[in-house]
Amino acid sequence: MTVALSGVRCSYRLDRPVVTIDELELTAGPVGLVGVNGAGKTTLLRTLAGARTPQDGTVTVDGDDLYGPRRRRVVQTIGYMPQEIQFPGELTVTQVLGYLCWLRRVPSRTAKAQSAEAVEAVGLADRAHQQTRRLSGGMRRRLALAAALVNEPRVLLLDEPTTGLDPEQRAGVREIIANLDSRCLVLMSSHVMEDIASVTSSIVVLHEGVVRYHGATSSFVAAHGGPNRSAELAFLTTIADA
Amino acid sequence: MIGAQGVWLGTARVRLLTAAALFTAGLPPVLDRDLSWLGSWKKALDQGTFSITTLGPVAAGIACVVYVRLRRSGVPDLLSQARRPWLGWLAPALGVWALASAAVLLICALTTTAAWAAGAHTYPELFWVVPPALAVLGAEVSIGAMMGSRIGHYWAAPWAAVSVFTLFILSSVGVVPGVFRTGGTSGSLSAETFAIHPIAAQAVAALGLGVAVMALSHWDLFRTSSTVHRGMCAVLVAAAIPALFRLHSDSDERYVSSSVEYECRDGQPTVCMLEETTRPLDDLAARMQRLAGPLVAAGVALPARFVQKLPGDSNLDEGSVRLFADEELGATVTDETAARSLAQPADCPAYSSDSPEDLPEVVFTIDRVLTHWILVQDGQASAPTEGGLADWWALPAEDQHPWVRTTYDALSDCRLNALRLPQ
Repeated sequence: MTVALSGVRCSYRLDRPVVTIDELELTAGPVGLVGVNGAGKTTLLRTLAGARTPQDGTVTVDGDDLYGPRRRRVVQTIGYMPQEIQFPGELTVTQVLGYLCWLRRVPSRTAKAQSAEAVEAVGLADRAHQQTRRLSGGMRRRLALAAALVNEPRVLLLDEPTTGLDPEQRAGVREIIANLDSRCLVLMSSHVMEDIASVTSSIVVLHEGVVRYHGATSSFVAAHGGPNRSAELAFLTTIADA
Repeated sequence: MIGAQGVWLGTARVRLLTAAALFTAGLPPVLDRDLSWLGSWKKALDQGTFSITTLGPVAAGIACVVYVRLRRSGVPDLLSQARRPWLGWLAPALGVWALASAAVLLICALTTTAAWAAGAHTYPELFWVVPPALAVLGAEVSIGAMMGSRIGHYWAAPWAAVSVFTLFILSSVGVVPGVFRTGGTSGSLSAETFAIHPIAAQAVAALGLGVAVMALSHWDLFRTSSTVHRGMCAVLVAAAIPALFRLHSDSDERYVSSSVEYECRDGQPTVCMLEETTRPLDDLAARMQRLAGPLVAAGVALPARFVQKLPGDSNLDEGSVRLFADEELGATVTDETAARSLAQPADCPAYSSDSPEDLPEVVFTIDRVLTHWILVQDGQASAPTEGGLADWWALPAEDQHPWVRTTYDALSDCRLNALRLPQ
């Protein structure tokens, strides 16, 4: 599974691009996406999710143009967990996933099984029939993750999946990500370098919409993390040099 | 699994309350002062669709709230990943529209059933006017959805309702094409029916407008929807353009003449009313047959039948049933109404002539005198003791009979220039 960006330019105002990426190729495995607030992480993830057409450039998934004629088929291979998502509070966990299965046109005979698998994967099986308004913040994030997993994606885009979670919940989410199929490309943005360093095998540092680093996470930390091999320091050094 | 259309509309209880609120919102235009539509099934149906006047703005407000909720949820980003992004976006609007349509259908069922129970002749084949009205409702819901989606604040809901109501007003007065006007005729719709072409044009225009507005409400999702969906929408929008022009022209009259059928009550005289408005027929016939007694006693030759007059018609062989609109639709009539009808034994062309010379002014006075004379003879009124005719009114009835006979004969033969006041 490969996602490639070429000449991608995204902007909300014509004179001020938010993301400018000449070339970037992401391959299967967990990939970290880091950057300060406003670096363009969410815009990039939305663009990769098929939710935001770039002004210029192409995004391909295994060679198929995400915004081309086969878009509706390509986008089916992508799961996306937005940074903020609020499902109707009156729906149960199962109903939310059923709704997403309907949207994604998952055949009804398999929708139930896929929903159950996704719920199981995020550890919400015992809450399957609970209304989402009664879930804690951490559980809601896990439900959002289940929603991204429900169609068994080959590209999983996670926007700040651990934000607002306590250390135990963060560890839980990291474990879920670590247990995902290794053939799946997981692109995960986070402010918490510890999460990125512990889960991902490669990393993309985005600063002011431009990729400042792309490579193996371990090399990144080794090269920029100082004597203590601090991921945090590696990140700060990289963006300070930019 | 909850229906996809209902996902954003709240719990089952909330949806039920929403439907109840929509139903209640549609009642004010229906529950007018005297429920006159009870006298005409066609008018009852028309009045049922008129409920959209107030129900539509409320539905638009609700759609606005639903789309504010949807937009704020972050779920639209997931919709863009859906195999059916456009349907996913439309689903909440379809849900609101379905609830509102159910309320309109219920109101139409109630008004027409009530009219039927009140004795009105039914025309179930005319239910075809309801789907076009529901298309208008759909356009109104789409406006609410767009405002909610674009503005993204709950305070937009009342503005959506006001905007839709304003569009109804502008449609009704002809400032904009009459897309948002449903029902609300002031007539009884007797000898009339709904015009197919303007109403079909209205439905097409409303559908096209609704689709276009929904597409604008989230253009990115529309753009990424399937070619079939986009093609269908494009066809509807393209069809709406000539429909809008048609509705903006003078040819948008929603009601046209229909075939005329009468229902009669035999007697002396036989009294006939148009089939659509027979609610007061029994009462009218009974009163006319009773009040005919003094005329018969005076020796006049009553026409065999009195028939409800149609505008522009004239019939020399039959008397005219003369009713005002509220009398035509009411359950009962007054003796004065019955006497007024008896006082016109022929429907002379002069009565509907545009030329004042054809209708001598004395006809109006004689009409009043003759009507009053019938009521006086039946004891329903007293004879005037003042005025120019006081002496004649003071005469015994037998002495009044010659004038009554002469006058009635002249009225029956439409010899209006031969009419004279009593001496």
